[in-house]
Amino acid sequence: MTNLRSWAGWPVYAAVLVALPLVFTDSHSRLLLILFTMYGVLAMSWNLTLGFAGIFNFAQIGFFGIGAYTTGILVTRTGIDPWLALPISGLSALLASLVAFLPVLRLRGIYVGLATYVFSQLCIYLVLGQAGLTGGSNGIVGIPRLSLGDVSLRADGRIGYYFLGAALLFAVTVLVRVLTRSTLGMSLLALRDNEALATSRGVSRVRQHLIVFMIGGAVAGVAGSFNAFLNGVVSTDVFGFGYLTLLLSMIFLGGSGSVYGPIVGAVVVTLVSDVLQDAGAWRDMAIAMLILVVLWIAPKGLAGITNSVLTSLRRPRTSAPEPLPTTSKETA
Amino acid sequence: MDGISVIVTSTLVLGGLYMLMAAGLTLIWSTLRVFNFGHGAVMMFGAYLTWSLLDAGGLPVAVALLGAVAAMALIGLAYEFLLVSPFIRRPNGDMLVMVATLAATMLLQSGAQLIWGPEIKQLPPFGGARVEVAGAVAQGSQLVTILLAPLLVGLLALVLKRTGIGLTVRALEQNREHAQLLGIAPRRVYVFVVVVAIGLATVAGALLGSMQFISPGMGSDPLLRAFVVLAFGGAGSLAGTIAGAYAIGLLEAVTTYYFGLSWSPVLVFLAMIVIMLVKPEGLLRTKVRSA
Repeated sequence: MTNLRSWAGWPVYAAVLVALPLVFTDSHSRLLLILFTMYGVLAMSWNLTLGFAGIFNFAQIGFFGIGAYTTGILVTRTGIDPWLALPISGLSALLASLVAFLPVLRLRGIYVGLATYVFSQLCIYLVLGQAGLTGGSNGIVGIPRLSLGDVSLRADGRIGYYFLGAALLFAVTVLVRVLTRSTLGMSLLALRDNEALATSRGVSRVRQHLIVFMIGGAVAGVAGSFNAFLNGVVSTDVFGFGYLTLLLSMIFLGGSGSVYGPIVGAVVVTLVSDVLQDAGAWRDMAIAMLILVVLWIAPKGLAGITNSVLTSLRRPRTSAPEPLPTTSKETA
Repeated sequence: MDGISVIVTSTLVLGGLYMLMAAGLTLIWSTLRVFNFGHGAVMMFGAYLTWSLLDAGGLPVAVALLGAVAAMALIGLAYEFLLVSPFIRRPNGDMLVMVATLAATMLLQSGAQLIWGPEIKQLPPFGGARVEVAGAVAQGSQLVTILLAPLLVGLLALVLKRTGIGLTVRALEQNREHAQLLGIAPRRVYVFVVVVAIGLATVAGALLGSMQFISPGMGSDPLLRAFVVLAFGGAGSLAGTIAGAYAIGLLEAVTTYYFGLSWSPVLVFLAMIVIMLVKPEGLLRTKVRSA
């Protein structure tokens, strides 16, 4: 039952997204706002597989990088309209997600983590091996900026990029929210929490996981394309450990398996990482410690804390999806 | 003929290194049911520690390596207490442990950068012996790797087979609930397993650090290969791991020789995907264990 109240938040959300760059006008704050949107999109898309579906998917960073490289190669090698590169990058990341999904067909749980991790690391070798196409370790430079008519998205403190990022974030938030309340989302939770029961009720694990894998991959690809246009360069850093741990800390700080948590996580971690920008290796240390501390004291992240505070304050809302009772997956 | 002797030597060296890495991973997998994504970083840290003891402490190579193994055992304890035991019993604990080991990788890498700085370091070769068999030459650290790796992993197999702690490890591997019913405390086994695995990785790190350079990122390549070894030999079986390590070493030596360095990892990974699709339980295993 969708009542009016549950949809009243959306216009407010959109209004906040529109108002933010009008409040923060200097170029550094604007850049941070853009990063919020990009990381928010990425963290949410990864959370679909990692949090909701419970798939040990470490290939998301690979899809992100593949999107970035698709854009880099397309716009520098062919005369394609840069705007077209965004959806095409999503498509190529979607195709890549099919390849990465192959091992998931027959593997379970933790083996998937191994295969997907190897997949994203392997992207680096592919990029370095195809130096003629990808620029190898030099990366791709000189990616043209996006522009609307004669107005570059870079103008006025990159405000165009912010609105593009905000639009993507809004769309992905709606997508994730709709998806998690759909039968697909429900079946994913069922598969995650009790696979034997779910499959015995006629839920196809492979099909549902494939769908969510492809959606997550495509979104990450578009985010990668956005990143390429924003920076104007693409290098193998996009597959790197930095992004991997940064995004994991966002998801787990915000709350894996929560719709909005990763957005909050993205904002907090981006701010922390920006404050420590000049601290070099200390910054990485801080991010890693942040992940560990969150895992130790609040494994459900900020969303879990908020939920438990809310439920202790008032009666639990009927619309909130109760997690299914988890049963032990351990059967020797 | 020259090609074959090069391939044989590098198969034995690579196989030895991967075996040292993968044996620890297999041990952790079979008892804890997680993959340690921090294994490459642990290896790197061990190499740096060996270098420090050698360079600053002025110790001989072998003593420095032993010291590093001892120091890394302490880190192994911390690893178990901070990263494994807080999560392992929670629902969805395996994912939490894996994410924690990823965070540990970042912690160790940036820690190494802070402690040892950005300059590249290298360990001296372990001895100057040189052996030539039918045109295949192995010397120094290569020779030590070829001999030491099977020796250490063989020793591990013997410990698992013959000693009391080895028995409890195998009991826990086979059936966790029953092992606990018999009074086996999983914690003790976890500590043992993590410390042994990290010790083996330290040896691998020191050996690699004397053949190549030591850098904060040096562990990621060997870690990937060790994962492929696990997929190949079947995680959880030590014999499969040993055979898998040499098989992947051979595959890598051959593909590097004929296709070049940049294509070799791609081909190795393709082999892994095919194996996982055809025989997810590992090419060399017959018994499927539910995961």
